[in-house]
Amino acid sequence: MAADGTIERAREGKGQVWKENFRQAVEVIRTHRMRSGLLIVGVAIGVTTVLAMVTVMSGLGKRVQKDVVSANRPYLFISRFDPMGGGRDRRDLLRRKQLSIRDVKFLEENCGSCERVDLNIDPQGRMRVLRYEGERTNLIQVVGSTHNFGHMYSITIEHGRFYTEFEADRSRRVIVLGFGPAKDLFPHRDPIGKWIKIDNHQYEVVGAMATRGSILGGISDNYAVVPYTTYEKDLGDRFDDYQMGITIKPEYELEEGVEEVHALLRASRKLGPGEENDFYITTSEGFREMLASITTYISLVLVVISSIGLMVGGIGVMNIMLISVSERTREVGIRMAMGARRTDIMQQFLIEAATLTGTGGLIGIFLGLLAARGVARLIRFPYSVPLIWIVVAFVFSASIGLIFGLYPANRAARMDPIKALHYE
Amino acid sequence: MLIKVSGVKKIYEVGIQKIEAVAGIDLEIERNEYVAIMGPSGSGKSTFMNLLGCLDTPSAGDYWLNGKEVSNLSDDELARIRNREIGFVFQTFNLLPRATAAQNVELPLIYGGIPADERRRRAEEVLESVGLTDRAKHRPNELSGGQRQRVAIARAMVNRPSIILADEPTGNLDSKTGIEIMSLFDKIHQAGNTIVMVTHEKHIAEYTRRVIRLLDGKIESDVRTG
Repeated sequence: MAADGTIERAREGKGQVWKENFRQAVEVIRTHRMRSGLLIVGVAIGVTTVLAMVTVMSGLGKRVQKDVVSANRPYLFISRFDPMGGGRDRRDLLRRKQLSIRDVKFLEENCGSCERVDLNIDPQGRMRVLRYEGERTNLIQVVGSTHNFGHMYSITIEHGRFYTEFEADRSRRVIVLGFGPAKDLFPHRDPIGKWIKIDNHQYEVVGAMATRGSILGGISDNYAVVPYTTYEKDLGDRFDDYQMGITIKPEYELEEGVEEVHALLRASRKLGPGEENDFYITTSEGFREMLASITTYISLVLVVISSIGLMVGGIGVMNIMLISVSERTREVGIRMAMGARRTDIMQQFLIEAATLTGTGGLIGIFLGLLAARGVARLIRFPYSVPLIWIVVAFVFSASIGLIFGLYPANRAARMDPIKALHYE
Repeated sequence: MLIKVSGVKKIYEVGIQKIEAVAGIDLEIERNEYVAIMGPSGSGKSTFMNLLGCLDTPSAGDYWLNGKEVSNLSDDELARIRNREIGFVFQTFNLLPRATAAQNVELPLIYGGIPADERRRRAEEVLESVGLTDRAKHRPNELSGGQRQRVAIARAMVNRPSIILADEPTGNLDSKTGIEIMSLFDKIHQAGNTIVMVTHEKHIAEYTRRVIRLLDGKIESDVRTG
């Protein structure tokens, strides 16, 4: 044979063996339909679980972020301590001076980057019952707030209006109902102008909110808002926590707002130069990032757990490939006699394994996305297909074939051609 | 000189015992010779065949095949030699059961890196030369024993090897079919090919032009008849 075409042929030769090995893999899978089918189903189930999990988690994460960080505009949230922080003794932190309307007024007067400043009183989980004639609500949360509450949290008023600054300053007994209590107390009636009771006080309903349509469902709609002054007068309690919400003017960067608010609050709260802050500023960005990292961690854990299913599939692959290799010992011998190198044999069985698991992967991707869509419909969250995860799922399932096929393939490649040829 | 073997030994170690399956063979085979290797079982003829076929490497000695020293090549290089220089014909045919006759014949060409269209053309060519054009699409289990062995012979020739090694090629065939196969080998020899055939049947060896008898891993006699 002419020597000149050798290098070219060698290069092209690899392609020929590749094609043959792939054709062979498909052929073997077709011949052993039952065995291959079961294995493919196994891998498909694994991939379905992982992908459905990831898709649901990613949609859920986006939805939770949207619900929790509900404001459409960037804002700052200020409390006496890091709402998510740990470490320090909470009782110590609770001894800090509450935020107050004086701080709010100070910021309103001096803060150039602040758009609106809201004070709201969080009852720290204490719940109340609202009554109207014969009807009563479940236990709901009643918070106190300035007139800026609605603006701050991008709440839509469905009926009536939010109370005014004037009403707040005069601690009028007016109330804005969340979607939940409005529905409970006034199922078929207009709630506006009605007087409802909390304990022994009567409040005039001036507004009712639209549902926030959150996945948290009832919880996020089950509340009512009264002016902070009214709250202090009727409902106040030493466990209440005063918080501030500040929206920043669009022409300012969030960072600039944080810096200015930080400096002004220190002044307002009369902190000396060396003194530690007695408040904590969280930004909407911060919330968003924190939630993103939480959902990422949860996803990761879920993926790891559901990957165990895939590993089981992998062991199935190894088992089947071992059977396949020993059944085809003679074939390996023949191929070696015909000039197959050990790497060619290795490649043949690896391709076979990867084809099996890859096929399972494709089916699993399809089913997983279908399942995720079903779940998304069921609990109403945006169904998002993370493309990267589809690629990852496919590559991962094919790799399972490669990894678990490695031992059987190596076993085939190391056969002694003479023994393999005479194997019965 | 196509084949030059000198001082070749194959020693197996079984426990502490050393068994010389091939105990020092010197042999030269010219191009276009037709050689039979005979000998009782245990004479080392199978082991020697494996060495000639580059399925195994000798424990000692040199083996020159087609001008190349092949006695201590790597596994990959041996695979390449088997692919280019040697065509195997086995007693039990050793065809891939799931592949058609044509696909079986193409197998060495695949590992030789020949593109598909050229493979098909050459497979058709050799299948025609063994009279099986109409059986190209059949699988081994749809073929008679004689037809299977012809597919195997076509496969052995498709890469135009330097030698065709046949190990008891008629051992699994009835005598009438055996004669047909032997006349096919005759034809192949006359076309200029070199054939080395292991057999223990005298009437098969009579088809060849040179008979080498082995005993206890050594050449007992080497007789040219043609």
